[in-house]
Amino acid sequence: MPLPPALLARLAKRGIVEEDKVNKPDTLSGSTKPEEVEEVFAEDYDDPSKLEQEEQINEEITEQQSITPTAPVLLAPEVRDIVGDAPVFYETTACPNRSNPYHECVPYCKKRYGMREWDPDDDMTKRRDRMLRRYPLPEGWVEVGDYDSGRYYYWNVHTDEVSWLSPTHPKATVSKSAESLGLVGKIGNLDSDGEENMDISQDILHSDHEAEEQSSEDSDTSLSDEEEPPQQDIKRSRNRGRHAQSKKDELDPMDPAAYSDIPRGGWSEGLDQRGKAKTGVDVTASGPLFQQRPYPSPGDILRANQGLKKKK
Amino acid sequence: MSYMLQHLHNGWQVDQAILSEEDRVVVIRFGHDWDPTCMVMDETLYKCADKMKNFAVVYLVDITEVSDFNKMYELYDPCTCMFFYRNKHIMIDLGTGNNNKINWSMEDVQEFIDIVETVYRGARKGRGLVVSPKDYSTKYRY
Repeated sequence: MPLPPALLARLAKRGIVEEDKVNKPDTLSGSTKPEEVEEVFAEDYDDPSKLEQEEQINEEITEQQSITPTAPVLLAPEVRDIVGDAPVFYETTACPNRSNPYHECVPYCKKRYGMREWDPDDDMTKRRDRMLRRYPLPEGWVEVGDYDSGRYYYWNVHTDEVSWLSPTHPKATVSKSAESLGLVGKIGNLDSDGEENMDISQDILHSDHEAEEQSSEDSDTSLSDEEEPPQQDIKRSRNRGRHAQSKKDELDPMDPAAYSDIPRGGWSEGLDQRGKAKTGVDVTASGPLFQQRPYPSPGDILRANQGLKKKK
Repeated sequence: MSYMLQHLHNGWQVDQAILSEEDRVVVIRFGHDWDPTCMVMDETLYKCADKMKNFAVVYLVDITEVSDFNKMYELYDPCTCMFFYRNKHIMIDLGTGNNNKINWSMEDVQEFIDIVETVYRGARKGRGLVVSPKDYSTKYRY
């Protein structure tokens, strides 16, 4: 019985099965081994037809290999001045705390973990080129390299939205970046000398791209553009963000403000405050004394009310 | 019979009415003259006011007109009766769980006079809490 390719790849990695055995299944498509490994991880196991599709795509790519297209990026001149024609890159530390939303990378992160290197997969680059040929980027969209996943994503310089696929792609999911949704950590000023006089727009770019890079960290690295997972990933992160935001605003159904007309209270609502006792009784009385708390005299109440008015 | 009894129209009057009584219990009915529960209570109060004029004085307070005490005295019943002696709130153990006030209307004149007399006797001895001669807990009512 043939082992599933994912298992084969793993076993080969650990030296349990021979390498040639692993390579056998993809002799047809002619793809290389590391590619196969990544492919398998990205595979949708629910859909058996996916593998065949994959092979077809690989064949297509080999056919189109001779052509080396450039991404047709349409940009307003002022944006082009800042960004340039080539894909934008924003340096990221290899800091393991990047996934922590409360972590902000400092120069030490750079010193300790170094910076991430950009080594895009050949296969990924081919697919990206093909996708861009089919679905060219609309005006205002910039291609950005994501260090964490080794993929490119697309960023709208005007609306500050991001997408893993070209926005004209039928399956593209355009959303806010993960950092603007507060899902991932920020990159602080890595150079201790400081580049404070950096362009503001540059700053904005910076934060957004870091965010997007982060959001893709848990996604697979060389996903075919026709596949679901990258979109799912964004969707998930977006949903998470929406959930986190709405949780703050959402009214707890058990909150009296949710079912009656009383105003929504703060955290100190209902605590006893001086001169603001709910009744005039002695609040310290408890146990058998509780029923024996006399009310203050009317004069005391009037004076207390007067004091409260003055405070206001 | 509310028109036969003295009304107090503001907080200051309530305060002064209680402060000015040297050795009499001040009975204050908080409520509305138009309220059916209060009407019953006012009837009783009017009938006994003359009988206990030596040790108690009765005043009526409209809780809408005089809202100063509503919060502090927890005045949310249609009719509430409270007792003060020498500017001090006197509690009565009525067996109802609420020792601060009578928050129902009493029809029996003698019963009410007995309560006020008990309050007067206890308060004279310096007690802040007196025990009502009759238990008004629901177990005797039903």
